[in-house]
Order: sequence, then structure tokens, then C-alpha cells
Amino acid sequence: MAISNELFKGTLQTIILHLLSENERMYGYEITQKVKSVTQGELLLKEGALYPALHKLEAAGLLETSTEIVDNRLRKYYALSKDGKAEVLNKLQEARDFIQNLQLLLNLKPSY
Amino acid sequence: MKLSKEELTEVSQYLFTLTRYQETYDELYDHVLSILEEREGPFDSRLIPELVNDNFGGHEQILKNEAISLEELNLSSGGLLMKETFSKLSAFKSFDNISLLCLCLVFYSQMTYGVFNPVFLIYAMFFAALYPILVYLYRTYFVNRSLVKPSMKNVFLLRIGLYGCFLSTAFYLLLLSPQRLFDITNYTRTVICLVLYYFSSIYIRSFHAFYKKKIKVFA
Repeated sequence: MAISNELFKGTLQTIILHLLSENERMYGYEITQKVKSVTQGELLLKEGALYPALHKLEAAGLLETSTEIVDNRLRKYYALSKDGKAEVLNKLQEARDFIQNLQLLLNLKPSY
Repeated sequence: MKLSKEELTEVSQYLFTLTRYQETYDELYDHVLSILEEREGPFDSRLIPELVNDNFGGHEQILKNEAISLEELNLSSGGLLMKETFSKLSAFKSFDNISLLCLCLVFYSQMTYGVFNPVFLIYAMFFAALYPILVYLYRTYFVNRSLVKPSMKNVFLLRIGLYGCFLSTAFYLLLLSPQRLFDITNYTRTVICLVLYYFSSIYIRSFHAFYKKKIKVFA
């Protein structure tokens, strides 16, 4: 069952920051593919939502970018900045607290 | 699928029409090619608009996202430039600021004796305001000459340059020009010139530091 994109919106930045904390640097397509593979296709991250979020994080100084020529085209890589490395911990804690509260509110039990 | 040179050109030509800025075009092009390269089967030109609509929400959405990204860049870069300017201002006791202040005092004493013409300070103020536009022209016609679309960073430089020019012209017409709108004494005009010169010098140094940190690394 595919998960609604509405549920995705509030956590998109956390997902991006977390993925980048696990990988030194990633480019846009790589991020979408990583989300797809980790969730086994349950979550499909649309590029139309991904890039504005990446640009917003970059503008906020949480991400740093670098470019490289790959197969005769320019590829933009994103990596966590110093501020981004600090922020990822806050965001993850925020997400954990939210999920905990959601479980309480909706009487959900973890599936594992 | 492996794309031929003609197919790559076809993809590039289609995507070229969809974006306004170079940065977005580069990301879109790399993304679409990455998707196509992972796909099995032969290339079909109908695939490109289909991919763009499914993944990026179509042409209008791309333009909307571009506008949002440009706004983010303007806000964050503008904020950084302000921060840089305030940090230079707050470092009042730094060697640069003290020497600048001394220079202003020398100009002041020279001007009160009528030896130094304040018009040179007005030129300096206009130069400081124009500096981002000069950098914009340098980047557009030398550094980024090979770019086929305007760069968002260059657009930002042009914007702050125009903003600075507007402010300097307003100061000039209101307070500094011989036919100025407000009737002020020559002494007051001299003091205003010196104050503007002081702040312009700090601004140009801040802009340079900001450019090295934020804009140059994006080049």
C-alpha cells in the first residue's frame, strides 16, 4: 500500500537530513532512489517536492553543495553543513516524539 | 537504456524550454537522464514529457518551484550579506574601521579648509553601490560565459546592485546634489558625505567577504 503524500510533507526535511547524515553526499535522483529502496517502494518521493525542500535546506545553511561533471553533465551533490549536522539530531528527536504521541493518540502498536 | 548523442540532444532541447535558470536546468537534466539511463527498453521521445509531468508536476510546477528557490536564495543571501555588514560594523575597534575613521577625519579637516572636494566621496559611494553590478557583469560575460541560461546567483547580484544604485541615487538627489531637494548647509552636506562614505566602505568590504564565502563557491 502506497503512503499518502500528505503524510510525507511534514517529515520530508527530516528524511533528507537523516539520509545525508548516513551518506557523505548525495544527489537528487540518488535520494529518491534511496527512499524507494529503503521503504521497498512504499514511499515515492516526488522530485517536485524534493528539490524545493533541498533548496530550502541549502538556503537555510543546513546543506552545502558541490558540483561535478559526470557523464558530460553537471551533477549537484548535497551534503550536511556543520549546522546541518547539529540540526539532524534535533529533527530526529522531534520526529521520534511526534511518532510516540501519534501512537498514543491513534492507539497504534508497533508492527515489529 | 543507453542514449545516443541525438537522443541526448533531444532531451536537452525539450528540458531547455522548461526552466528559466541554469541551476534548475542542470538539476532537471541530470535527474531526467538518470531516470532514463535506469530504464529498460528503447528510447521514445514521448517519454520525456511523461517523466517531467509525473515526477516534476509539469512545466508550471517547475516554474513555481524555481520562483520559490530564487526567493529562498535572495532571502538567505540577503540575510548573510546583512549579517556580514553588521559584523563588520560591530567590529568597530578593528584596524580596518579605525583606519577608515582616521581617513574620514583627514577628509573632514581638508574639506573644512576647502582643500578637498567632497564630490570624490560621492563617486566612491556610487562605486560601492555599483560594485555588485560590476561583479555581475564580470560573472555573466567572463566566468559564466558558457552558461546558456541566466544563473540565479547572478540574478541576486544584479538585484542587490540595482537596490544599492537606487539608494545612492536617492541620497544624491535628496541631499548631496547641487540641486538637492532638501535645503541643507554645505557643512551638513559634508558630514553626510563622510557618513555615507564610511558606510559605503564597510558595505563594499562586507560584500566582498560575502561574495568569497557564498557566491564564489557556487560558481
